Formats: sequence, C-alpha cells, structure tokens
Amino acid sequence: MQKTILAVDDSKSLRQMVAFSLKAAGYQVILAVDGQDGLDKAHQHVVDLVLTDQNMPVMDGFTMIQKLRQMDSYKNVPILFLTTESSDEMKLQGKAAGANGWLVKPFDPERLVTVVQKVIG
Amino acid sequence: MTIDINQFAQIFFEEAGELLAEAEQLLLSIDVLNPDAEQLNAIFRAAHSIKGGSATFGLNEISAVTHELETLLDRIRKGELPLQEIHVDLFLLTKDVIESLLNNYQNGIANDSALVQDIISQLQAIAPTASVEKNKSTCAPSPNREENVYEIELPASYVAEINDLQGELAILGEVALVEQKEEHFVLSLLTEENEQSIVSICAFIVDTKDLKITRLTNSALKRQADTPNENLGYGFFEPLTFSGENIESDEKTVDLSPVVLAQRRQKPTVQGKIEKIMSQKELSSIRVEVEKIDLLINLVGELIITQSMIEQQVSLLDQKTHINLINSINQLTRNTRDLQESALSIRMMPMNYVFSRFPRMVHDLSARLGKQTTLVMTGATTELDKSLIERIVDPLTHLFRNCIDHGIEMPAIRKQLGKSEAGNLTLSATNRGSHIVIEVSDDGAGLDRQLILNKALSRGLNVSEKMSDNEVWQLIFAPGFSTAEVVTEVSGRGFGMDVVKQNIGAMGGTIMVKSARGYGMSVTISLPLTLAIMRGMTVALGDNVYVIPMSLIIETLRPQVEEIKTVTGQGLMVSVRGEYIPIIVLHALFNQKTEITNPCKGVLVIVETDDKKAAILVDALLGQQQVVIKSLETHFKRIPGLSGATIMADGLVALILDVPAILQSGQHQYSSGAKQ
Repeated sequence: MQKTILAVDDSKSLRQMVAFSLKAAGYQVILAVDGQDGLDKAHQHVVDLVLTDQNMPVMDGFTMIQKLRQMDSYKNVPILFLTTESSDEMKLQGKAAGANGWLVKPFDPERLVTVVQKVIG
Repeated sequence: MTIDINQFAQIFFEEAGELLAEAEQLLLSIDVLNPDAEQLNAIFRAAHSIKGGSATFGLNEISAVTHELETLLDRIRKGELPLQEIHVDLFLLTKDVIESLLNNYQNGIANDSALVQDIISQLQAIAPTASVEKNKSTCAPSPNREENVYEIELPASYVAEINDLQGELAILGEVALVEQKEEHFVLSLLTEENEQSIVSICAFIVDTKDLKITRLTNSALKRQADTPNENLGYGFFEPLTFSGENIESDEKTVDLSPVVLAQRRQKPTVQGKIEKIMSQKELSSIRVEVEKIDLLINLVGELIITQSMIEQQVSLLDQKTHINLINSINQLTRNTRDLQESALSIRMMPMNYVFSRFPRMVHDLSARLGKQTTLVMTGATTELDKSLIERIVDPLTHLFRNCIDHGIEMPAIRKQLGKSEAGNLTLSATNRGSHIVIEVSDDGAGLDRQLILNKALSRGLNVSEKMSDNEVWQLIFAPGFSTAEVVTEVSGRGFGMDVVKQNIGAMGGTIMVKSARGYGMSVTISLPLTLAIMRGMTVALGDNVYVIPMSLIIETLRPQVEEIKTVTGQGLMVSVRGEYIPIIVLHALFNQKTEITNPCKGVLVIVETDDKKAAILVDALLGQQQVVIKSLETHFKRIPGLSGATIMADGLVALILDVPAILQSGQHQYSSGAKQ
C-alpha cells in the first residue's frame, strides 16, 4: 500500500520540488504551507511520515511538532525537520520538540528520497 | 533516478518576487524606534526563504547576498543589533539588487559581479561584529565564554515544578524538557554559565541535594544525536524502526509528551492571520488570460442587447394571453443582469494593486528632495476595472511627484509655519454610485493663485482677475503650463498636469482641484467603474438617436421664451434658477438636419463636467436604459464628439455623446464667433 508523507514548508518552490520527487518515488504527498496548516492536514489525513521546515509564519515547525505529538495518532509517526544549519542548538531544539531526525537544506531530490526510504521504506 | 529540479525554478522566481515585495512593504512600514517583533521575523523569513531557494537552484550570487542580509536581520530580530534608519535604507537597496539579479537569471543575462561584491561589502560593513560593544544581556552570547549543555535530573516528586524550573533556567540560556519517566525527569540546558549558577537558580525551587547535574561534552552531545551524518546532510536522534525491521534501540527513549521550549514563541498576530488568509486565497484562485475575460464580457454584452430586443418584441404582445411568456422574459432579464454584474466583477481588481507601489516611491522621492513625508492610504480594497487600474498609475504618480516636489515644504520651513516637519500625504479611494473617486491630497503650500494668473497672462491665455478660484486652478491643466521656477528632474516640465487630464479623460473620468494657500491641495479623480456598460439617456435628434451618460446629466427641461438670452460672443444661454448656462445646439455642431431649431420646442439636457455646465439642445427625450458601449474605433473609426456607439433594443444603432469634448468645442464655437 502506498505510504503517505505530509510535507510542510512555506516555500512554494520547495513544496513543489518535494512533492514531485516523492511522488516520483511512489509516495503519496500532502502539502501544507505553515505549522497551522500542517496541523489541520494532520487531523484530516493518515500519514506515515512528516517533513517540516522550521521557519514559517503563523506557526513554526517545532511548535507544530510539539502539538502533533500531543495527538494520539501522531505519537509514533516519524517526523523529520528541515534546517539550513546543523548546529547542536538546532538539533537540541528539534529533539526536544519531538522530532526523530533532520535533513539539511538545500538538499537534492536524491538525498530526500534516500532519507525517506530509510525511515519508512 | 535523476530528477531535474530546474522545472521548479520558475516557481521560485515568482515566489522570490512576492517575498521581496512583501519584505519591501514591511521595511517601509516598520517603526524604526520601536520595531514590531513579528514584522522583523517576517522580513527575516523572507530573506531566509530566498537564500534557501537560491541555493537549491544554484543561484549562488543571490545566495551570497541574501546570506549577508539574513545574518544582519537575524542579529536585529534577536535584539543583538538595534534597528536604524540606515539599515532600512540598505535593506531596501539590497532588495533592488536581488530583484535585478533574479531578473537577469530569468532572462539569461549575466550578472555584474562588481555590483554583487559591492552590496555584499556594504552589508558586511554596516554593522561589523568585531568592534561592536555589546551589552551583557542573557541572550547575547559573548565570544569569550563557551557554551555547554548540562543535563539536570530531578526525581519525579518535583514534577509539579517543571514549568517554574524551566522559567528560571531560561534566564541562563536555552532549556528543554528532554525526558520524563516515572521515577525522574531530565531538563537540558544550553548555557555559558557554570554549574554553580545552575544550582543557585534551582535552589529557589528544589532541594539542591536532589539535583543531579551532568555536563555533556561535545562528544557526548554528538553521541546523543545518533549517526553523525554531517557529510550526508541528515541524521536521526535514535535508530528508527520501520515496517519490516526492528532495529534495537537503547532504553533511553525520549519521551515525547508536551514539551515547553523556553525560547521565543511566535504569537499569532494580525500579520500572521493576514498571511494565512493570503495563502488560503492563493490556493483558491486561478490565472486566466485577459483576452478570455474580455471575450466573455463581450459575449455578455451581446446577450444583453439580444435580450432587450426580445423584451421589446414581447412588450408588443397582449399581456393577458402571453402572461407566461412575459414572466419568463422578466426572469431572463433578471438572470442576464446578474450575469452581467458577475462578468464585469471578474475584471475588477482592488486598488491595492496600484496603491502598493506608492509607499516606496514616496519614500525614495522624499529622501531625494530632502523632504519628510508620511503617506496615509485608505480604501485599498475598493475595486476598479483592470484596464483602468493600469492606466491610473501614471497620472497618480505624477500627482504625487507634484505634491512632494512643489506642495510639501522643506522640514525647516514647515516647522517655522507651525506644521509637522513631515508633510502629510493622503491617497484614498471610495465608491460613489457608478463611479470610483480617488483623491490625492497634501498639507503643503497649496496653489499660488497670483503666480498662476501671471503665468497664464504671460502665455496669452484669456484670463482675468475676476475668475473664481476654481477657474484659476483649472489653468494648471493647460498644455505646457508650469509655474515651477526651475525644472527639476522630477517634475516641472509643465506637460505633466495636461497629460494627466488627458489620460483621465480618455478613461471616461473627470479631475478636479481644490486648494487653500498655506493649507494644502487636493486633486480628486472620478472614474466610471467600467467602460463596458453605462446608464444612458436616449435622445432624438432628427432621424438619429443619441445617448447621453446619465452620470453627467443634472436635469432636463423645456425652456420658456423669456429664459433664453443671446449673449454677444457667447451665443445662446438659458437661465435656470438665476444661473446662466450656455446652450450647445447639437444639430449645428453635428451638422444634422432636424425640424426643431427653436430651443423652446425642443428639450435642453443640462450636463455638468469638470465644473463646467452646459445645456445640450435635442429634439426630444426617448428614455433611459443600460447601454452596452461598443467602440467606434475598433469597428469604424474615431469620430470627435462621440465616445462610442450602441445597439438599441429595436436593432438600430445609437451614438454615444462624448460630453466633455462637446462642451469644449461648443465653447470654441461661440468664442470664435461662429454662426448658429
């Protein structure tokens, strides 16, 4: 059965790129434009993996991750955050928020698919 | 599988353009002395997004420039660097540079690397980190002290104090709850303070002998972040399980219950709400070519004409026997009217499209002329037909240039006069019936009556001291007129106001000026909401039918003999409630045969445009109706005195009068002594 990925980022070009790459790899993709939209979509769909940017308007990525973890259905869903820096500080915050891992931006589609496959097969 | 990401580059270009426009708007409206945190964050995010996107698509020059910009913005939003006016100016300049870089990339033009290097240097130089004397605040990390991560473990009995503890520890640095189990919980703290400080802070809340503090070394921290795949550009906090394989993970799992991060939270502000609404709107709109919409509106126009033909035919039938048909036709009329409104509204766009470019223009122009101005805009949501929106930009731009160049005084002079140092400019748009009224006003010096009269006299124009103020103000629209002492690069060539009036006239609108010396000036432009359809009064002249726009008609009357006067050099006039209004004998103007030559046997239609009144003599009034305007130029040729044509319900053609033009030529007819 096809796995579904929720991708949250306020950049339209990035959303399009992620959707294209993941769909080409055989996944279903749901897109959201900010943390609040991500939460709304998470409520509406069953998702196997969440990818999210951190810097977004309305609600940032880490806040969204925290809120997702409060939902029963998302306690165990793998969540990766996208970041332009790989500082220890950022990793700490991500971990504390409840993420399972991270992906450094900019990334190319190959790396994205590799990482996603590692996580949900 | 290789995926070509360049297909997404176009989306990035559009997106970057929008982000730059948004950033500019924010930069122009931000209060430098007391900047709003959410606004700073939004500007930062814009730079951050553009940096990320440009890096993804290999646009290295943009990436390098935005990197510098982002770094500065980050320092400013964190409070490390106070925002100053010079920063805003440099950021605006950077925005221009990035915009031109984007354009060049899109069009395959090579970029000027000297320009790129220059802006990068400027950004780096404006707030060098090395020499800045930083205040010792808890947020600003000083370059000398090292940051460490401490893990603070406490027994579960203190669970109720978790929030208080986090609150207190937040003073020392960044704190987070990383583990919560039955027996204990663990907080992690990233700080440059030493263990002693941590203990003293906690002492307020817990018994220090229950505290267990461990300092994590860098290697320990790296171990915590499992699989240090720095080179691979990703990593996991602990081995993940996925369907099929169960990878052994150690017992120390991170409990993912509600975590409070003691750092800046983004409060949903109005700005945030607006962004959400805007992004929702983006998702529910589609792009359509303008030609398709024009075709649609044209077809609707044809439909209305056909429908009114049917209506007319049906009105000739016996009401009783055809009651059902008549009811159906009425229904059709209602449907058609709704369709018409709906179709026309497609072309309507909010004035904001025009308004949005002025803050930047006003800002730059004021700076260039050494003046200070505040711009207030209201009615940005008022809508106007797309074609008019585009054509109104130039006239409005010129009006603003005039205000700032000639109207608003220098700050020192304003202060002397007891005015605020910054001149007040207002731009407003409101709906008034079938028209939209746009006003540009300033609180500057206003028009100089004497100066204008002198100039007019010197140019040989027919003026007198007895002219009313309104008539004097109208003089500024005369071709080549300018009272500017020196032609500045900005305005003053004297062709401006004349062209403005022409442009407004071509749009079917009118322009009016009000001024009070020492107080300021306001220019009011009135435009029809649409050029496609209007309400008109149909009149008969000989064998022909003409249409006069209802919006210009004040009244209609059949004059008595004693009300008609002949004035030498000005022709026939009619007295209406004590006011003498010139009569325009239409059949003479159009050289048209008609039986009715005596005004008292015909009808006078009193019209008003641009403060001028006239009485147009026609044979008879026929009626009032919605008229679909068809262009003469496209189907035939341009004819002076006519602004278009339409097809009546009976299938015959009626010509629409260009009232402002007729009034103008009517005047000349009499002042040059032409016979009737």
